[in-house]
Order: sequence, then structure tokens, then C-alpha cells
Amino acid sequence: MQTRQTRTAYLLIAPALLLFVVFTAYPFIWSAQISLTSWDGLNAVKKFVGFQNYIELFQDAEFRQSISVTTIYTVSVTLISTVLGFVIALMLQRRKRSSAIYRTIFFSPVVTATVAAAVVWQLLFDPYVGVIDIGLRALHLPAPNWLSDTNWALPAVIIVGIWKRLGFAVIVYAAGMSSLPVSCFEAADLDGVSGWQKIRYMTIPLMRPVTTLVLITGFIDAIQVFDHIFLLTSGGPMGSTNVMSLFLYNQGFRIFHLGYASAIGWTLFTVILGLTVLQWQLRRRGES
Amino acid sequence: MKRTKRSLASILSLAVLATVSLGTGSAIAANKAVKPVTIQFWNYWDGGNGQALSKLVAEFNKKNPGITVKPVTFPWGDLLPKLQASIASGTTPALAATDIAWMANMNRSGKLVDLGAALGGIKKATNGIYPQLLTYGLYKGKLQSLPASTNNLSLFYNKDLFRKAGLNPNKPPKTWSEMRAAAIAISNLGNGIQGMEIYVQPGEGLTWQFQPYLWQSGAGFLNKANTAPTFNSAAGRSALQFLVDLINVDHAATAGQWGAFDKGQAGMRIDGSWMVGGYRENAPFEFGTAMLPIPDGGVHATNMGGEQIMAFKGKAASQSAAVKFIRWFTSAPIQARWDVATNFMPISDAVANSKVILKHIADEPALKAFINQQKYAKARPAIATYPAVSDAFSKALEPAFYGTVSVAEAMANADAAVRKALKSN
Amino acid sequence: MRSTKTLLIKVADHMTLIVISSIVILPFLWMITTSLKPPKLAFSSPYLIPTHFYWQNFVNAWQEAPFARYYLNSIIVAICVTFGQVFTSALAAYAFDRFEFPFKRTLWFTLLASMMVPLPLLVIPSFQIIQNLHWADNLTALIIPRCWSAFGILLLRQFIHSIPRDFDDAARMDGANTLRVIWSVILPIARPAVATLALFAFLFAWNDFLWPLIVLNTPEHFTVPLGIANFSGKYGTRWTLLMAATVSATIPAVIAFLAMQKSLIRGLASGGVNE
Repeated sequence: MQTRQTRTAYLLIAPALLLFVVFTAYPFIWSAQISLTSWDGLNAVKKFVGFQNYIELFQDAEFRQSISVTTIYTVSVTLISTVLGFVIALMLQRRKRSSAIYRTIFFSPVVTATVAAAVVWQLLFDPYVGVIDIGLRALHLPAPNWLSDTNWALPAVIIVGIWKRLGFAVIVYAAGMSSLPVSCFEAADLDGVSGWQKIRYMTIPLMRPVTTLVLITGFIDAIQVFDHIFLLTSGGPMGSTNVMSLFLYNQGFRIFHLGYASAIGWTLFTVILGLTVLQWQLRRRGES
Repeated sequence: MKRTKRSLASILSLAVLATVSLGTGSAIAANKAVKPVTIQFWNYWDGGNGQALSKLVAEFNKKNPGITVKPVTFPWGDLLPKLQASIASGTTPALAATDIAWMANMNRSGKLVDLGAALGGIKKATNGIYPQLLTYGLYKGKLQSLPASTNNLSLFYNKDLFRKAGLNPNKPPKTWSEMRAAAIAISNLGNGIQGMEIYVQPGEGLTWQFQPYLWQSGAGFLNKANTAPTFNSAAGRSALQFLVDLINVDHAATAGQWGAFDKGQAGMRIDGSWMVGGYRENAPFEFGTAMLPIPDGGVHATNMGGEQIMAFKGKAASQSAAVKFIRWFTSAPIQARWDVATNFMPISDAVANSKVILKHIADEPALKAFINQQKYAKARPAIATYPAVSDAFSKALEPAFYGTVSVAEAMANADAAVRKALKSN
Repeated sequence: MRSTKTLLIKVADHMTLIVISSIVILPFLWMITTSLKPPKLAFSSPYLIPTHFYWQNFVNAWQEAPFARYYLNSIIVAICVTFGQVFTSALAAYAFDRFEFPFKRTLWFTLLASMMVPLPLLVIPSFQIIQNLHWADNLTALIIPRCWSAFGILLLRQFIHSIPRDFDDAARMDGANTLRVIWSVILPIARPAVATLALFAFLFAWNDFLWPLIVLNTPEHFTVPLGIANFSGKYGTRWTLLMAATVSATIPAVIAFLAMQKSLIRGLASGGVNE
């Protein structure tokens, strides 16, 4: 019985496992080998340099900056889009007729190809013809040169990140809320529970699984962010938007440091993995 | 339980079958094409340049039955990773045209066809092409690529803004101090209008825009052997100081991404001849061009850009088709028409003196500055570490433009960073 | 008293929604307006309301890029990836939840850890594998490697865990094998989770840029993002054409969502998420 179960189990995970091994694990281990060379991706010879790339990485200020930029980006986009998505879904829940139109509006950025979106935002952020600065000037507010300003470039790409992400959160929350038990809320109404209390003590706790889902998917998306930042700022000015995958890309595919880029990837992987394991351990200790 | 296994197995094998049949489709198609040969030509010439290329290629295909060249365009920044992936896995196209800045790395790949051998000797292959353009193609005594186009940086200026600021629109600045005076006059127009637009984005863009200032002031970039930086001299620092003051003291220039000049919001910008056609068609203002201004006691200098065309080793038929195309594309009559369509610069005297080119320059006065400037065009170091050097250089200088680091400090940082980058890969 | 308060809340709600949605819709207005301007006026006002109708931009954009073809390719890839991920994830998730087998914990941990692998890192080694399989320049290369998802397995496993085993047993009594149990018992109950995964997978494939770029060489095989990317380049961007291309690439997707959103929401919802 045990062996039969094992066989069935392995047959069931085989398709996923096979694809994982061939297209993720194997290339990843291969990249570990590249990380020990000074290969440029073109040279017929791959020169072995040992742990040189890793040693340099730990002294690289750009790498440290990149980690903090990635953290700020990931946390802001994930949190803000989740909270905003929740609030909007809550508002949409109360209106029946117009919600379809609103949902479509919020979801449109999600289905817009990122390349296309980045191009438009580049012009919206333009200090001369961009609608954003024209609007700010009309309101007599300071109008920064968003994408070329070291203080504003990161907020700018975060805004685009939220814009792109928001619709997903709205839809998932809207779906979750549409299946809330109506009877409980009606009972609460009869008991004279205020709207805010209903949200605080009923909707939010009931929505917790959905929130977890929105947060996890948001995190997966945000930590790997590449396309729109690549097109809007290429990581500048002064590295203020140089997120991890962009840093890695530029090292590997712009200045021919493919070995170094691989070392970045492996270090990053180890760090995130370490943090995750630590968090699990802590949580388990907390539970027991 | 047994049935589970069987149905699972059949699903798996179905999936595998589907995959295999999808996968082999292209292989069969490729096999059929052995006799009349079809080859891909990767490049990043998009838009008008791409259309011009397609026209020329169609002509070539018509003239050479049995050969079909298919140009494929990728965005500039994306062609490089594609080449890296294709070279690493042995799926190179037959032909490619790439940025000269990548050539030192491409040369080491061992995948490029020796054009000297294929075209009857280096001398015959390079037939009259300017020698400074050949540095990128030569590697260990072999000729592995030929110039497909060349260009340089000159000064673009907005005649409308010159007029508004009380400047003579037919007298562009000739010296740095005249350029500074013009920039200040234009920025005094107010309304957010800038005297000049300076490209400050980390990477090769910043470096390639700044190098002419270095050279004009008498400073160098790297030494002759390309083993150490030479830019951190009094002259080099004065070049950076000039621009930094223009931005942060005179408030007459903007630093950052491109955008102001195109929209008629900046008086001047340094850019390449390829912009002429687009501005002529679409610029919402009257523009002029001029040779780059130089400092008092300085020398004329500009940066040389362009693309090299190369053939990759492969099946004999496609390789010889590729070589044939290169010979045709780099020939003077075709180059002349290519330059007319793209506003790139001639690669040889034979092209420069051809009737079509002379007529084109007469028709488009804005090209004159570029033609005059071309002989002062300097080649960037053709070394494999150059992209890393340029990246390090630009990142060290960037804070100076934003005024967060002094000029002396930025140049010293750049010096150290470039020394380190020279030792990489 | 109470009704004025409700009214106030209603008005505030409405205002907030209008403000946020106008911000969200701003780029689309800009896109459409610019796509209809003659090239010379690309950078002059008005920016948000079309006053010119220069359709030539669309004619030119479509001449340069066969968007219908790009759409077809993108749809094929996205649909296959979606089905592939749901299929492999459902089987694996079921196995991980219902069975005990050697190396289960190690495998589980390895699969989850793979979510943290930075994708650009895999580009060159993966492409070498694609080449060995002779899938270069073929849509297969965009589909097969993407047909599994660690996130998908995680999501479905959590959901399957909440389904009582009695359901499986009852079906087995009726003679159903494991696949049958998954197909006709588990998946229908897990519909919300499946729909979420499907949406996530579809959007991922739809927006993917770097990997298709590396894999595809022939314009006939390009997906929508690749097609648009070719309109902005080193030697000057043609804004009005680019916008026409962008509009062509976006509007059908938005319309498709408008048409399908009811069933999408129903799929995502159906009670289960909150149990």
C-alpha cells in the first residue's frame, strides 16, 4: 500500500517536477557555475575566478543600494495596492449598477502590456508636456521632473507599479466580498452595529484568507519587478530606482558581467531563502 | 490503482507527443530550405531606418535569386542579450549589425566569419573605408566585421528660441563661452525653458555624450594602451566643471533624460545626425545644426558612433550568402543610398564624394555640420572591458551633475572605478 | 439624521471612486488622444480629449506590425500556459496534500524556494536547454517551460487541504480512480482557487517580455509586448505611431475583460474562499 501510494504520488507530481527540474533547477545550478567565472556571455573561453565575484559583491555599494530600493518598492506597492484594493472593493460592494464599469476601469491597467503602459507613463511624467506636472502647476504645487529627480523617480515607478497592480487586488477582493454571508450582516444591522464596526469586526477578519492571497501574489510580482522600471528610468537617477532584477540585468546584459550577475542572483536567492526559513522557525516557536 | 497509472501515463505521453510535434515543426521547415537559402539579419534599425533597410534588402533578394535575407529588428538594448543567448547556445543568425561598443566582446566569441579570408584579403574587403572605422572589426590580425554605418555628435539648436532670446539664429555658438552665454540668454526667457539639455543617465549614454568635452579640453579618456584612465587631469576636471556650472550655478541647463529639446523647451542639445530626418519632419520648431563648440585654446573633437555588420559561422550556403550580402551592403553605391535614407555618415571617400550624397547634403543643410565634424570623430576604446568602464565612469560622474558631489571628488571616484573596471572580465 | 449620514457616506464614496478611477484612466485618455494626432502635434495640447482624428497613424502602425498575428500568438501562449499550470498544479497539489511519500518535505521546500529565483538569471542557461530541445523561435518555448507554478501548487494545496477526505473516499467507493477524483470531485470544489491561479497565470503569460524576446526571432511569432517594443528605439521614438500601436494592443484586451468580468468574478467567488 505504501509503495503504491508513493508511486501514485510521484506520478502526480511528475509533470510539475519534470518542468521544474528542466527549466528552473537545472538552469539555476548552471548559473552557479557561471557565477564562479568572469564570463561575458560571448567569449569562447570562460575564465574561472573562484569566489571573486561574491567577494566583490559584498563590497559593492550599488548592491546594498539595490537591496534597499527593492525593499522599499516591494513593500510600498504590495501594501498600498492591497489596502487600496480592499477599500475600493468595499465601495463597489455597496453600489450595484455602476460597479461593472468601475471594475473594468481598475482592471484595464492589468491587461495592458507593461511595455505599452511604461511608454505612456513616461510622457505623463514629462515635466513639459506631462499632464501630471501641468496639473500640479495649475494648482500652484511644485512640479518635479519626476523621472530625472533622485527624490521623485522611485515614487514615480511605485505609482506605476500600484496602478498596474491595483485591479488584480480589486477583483480578488470583490469576488471574496460577493461571497460573504449576507445573513450575518443583516443580523448585525438589526443589532444596530455601525458600518465601521461591521468592517472592523466582520469584513476584515472574514477577508483574511483573501488578504493573504493578495499579499503573496503582490509580493511575488513586486520583488521580480523589471519591465516598467527598465523602460522608465533604467535604474537611475543615481541608482534611486535600481531594483534587483534591473541591477542584475544591467550587469549581465549591458556591461558584460554575466559571472557577476549570476553571483548577484545566487546571493539574493540565499538571502531571501534564509529570511523565509528564519521567519518560519520563529513562527513555529511562537506557536508552540 | 492500475487504471490510475495507465491513464496518467497516457496523459503524460500525450503531452510529450504534443510537445514533440510542436517542436519539430520548425526543424522540418528549416531542412526544406536548404537549396534556396534564407538567412536572418538581426539589427536594431527601427522605424525609418528599418524601412530603408527593408527596401535595400528587397533589392538584394531580387538580384540574388536563391538568397533571401530577412531583416529582424529588435530594440537596441535587447539585441545584446539575444546575441549572448544565441552565441552561447549556437543558434546565431547568419548576419547581424551591432553597436560598435559591443564589438570587442563579439570578437572574442569565436563565432564570427573571417571576412578578410572570405573576401580575398583584408585590403580588398575594406576597400577605401576610413582606417579609424576599421579598429572595431580587426581582432588578432583578422577582419571579423565591417562598418555598416557611422555617425557623430554635433550641436542641434532651436532657431525659434534663439530669435526669442535676441540671439542671431544663423550664428550658432562656436566656443564654450558663447554656448554658455546663449544658454543663459535662452533660460532667461523663463516659463521653464532651458538653455541646454544635457543627457545624464547612468550608462554609455552619459559617457558618450561627455567624452567630446574631455577631448575638446585636451584631456584624454584612457591611455594609448587602454590600461589606465587619463581623464582626471586639470583639463578633464575643467570640462566637467563647465557643464556642472551650467546646470547648478547658471541654472541654464537641465540634466536628466532626453525630452526638453524635442518639445521646443530647450535651446540646445548635442545629438547625432540620425535625428535630422525626424526633426525635419516633425519638430514643432525651426532647428539648426553646428559643429560642437570648443573651449578657448581647445581642439575640435566629437564622438564616433555606428554599427558593424558581421557574418556568423554556420552552414556553408548561409555563410557565403551572408558574406555576399556584406560585400554588397558595404559597397559604395549601396552605402550612399543607405546614408541618404538614414542620415548616417559616409564610411569612405568613395561614398562621401558620390553624386547621391553630394545632392543629399545640398538638399539638407543641417547635415553639413556633421560632415565637417566627422574628421574630428574619435573612436572609443575597442576593448572588452569598455562597457564596464563606461558604466563605472558614468555612475561616478552622475552625482556631480546633480550637485551632490564636487567635481574633483567625482573625477577621483571615476578614476578609481575605471581602474577597477579595466581589470574586470 | 441617519439618512443624511448615509447620504453623505454615499456621496463621499462616489467622489472617492470617481477621483481614483480618473487617475487610473488618465494614461488611456492620453494614449488615445495622442494616437489620433498628426506627428507634428504630438506634444501640444489638448492631451486628454481627442480633437484631431489622424487615422493614418493606425494605418501606418498596422502596416509595420501585424497586430492580429501578435494577438493570436499571445492568446495561444496565455491560454496554453493557463491550462498547463492548472493541470500540473492540481495533480501535484493533490499528491502533496493527500499522500505520504519519501522526500515529500524536501521536495515541497525546494519547490517553494524556487519562487525566489530571480528570473533574468535563468535566461541564458534556459535558452541553451530550449536550443537543445530545438524549440528556439517556436511558441512551444514560451509555453512548456511556463506550464508549472510553485505558487499554483501552494495555492491549490491549501485549498484542497480544506476539502474533507470523505469526498475522495465516497467517489472511490463508486469506482473512481485518482485522476477521476481530482477531476470530478476536487477541482469543482476548488473552483475559486483554480480561477485565481488561472487569472494569475494568464496575466503572467500575457505580460511576459524578457523571455519571449530571447526565444523568438521571427516577427510572425512575436507576442503583443514584443510587437510594441519595436516602436521605440535608439534612433528616435515615433510617438504617435507608438501610441497607435499601444491603443491597438490594449483596447481588445479591455473589451474582452468587460465582456468576461461577470463570469470571472463568479469563478473567483462562489463561497469557498472564506471557509
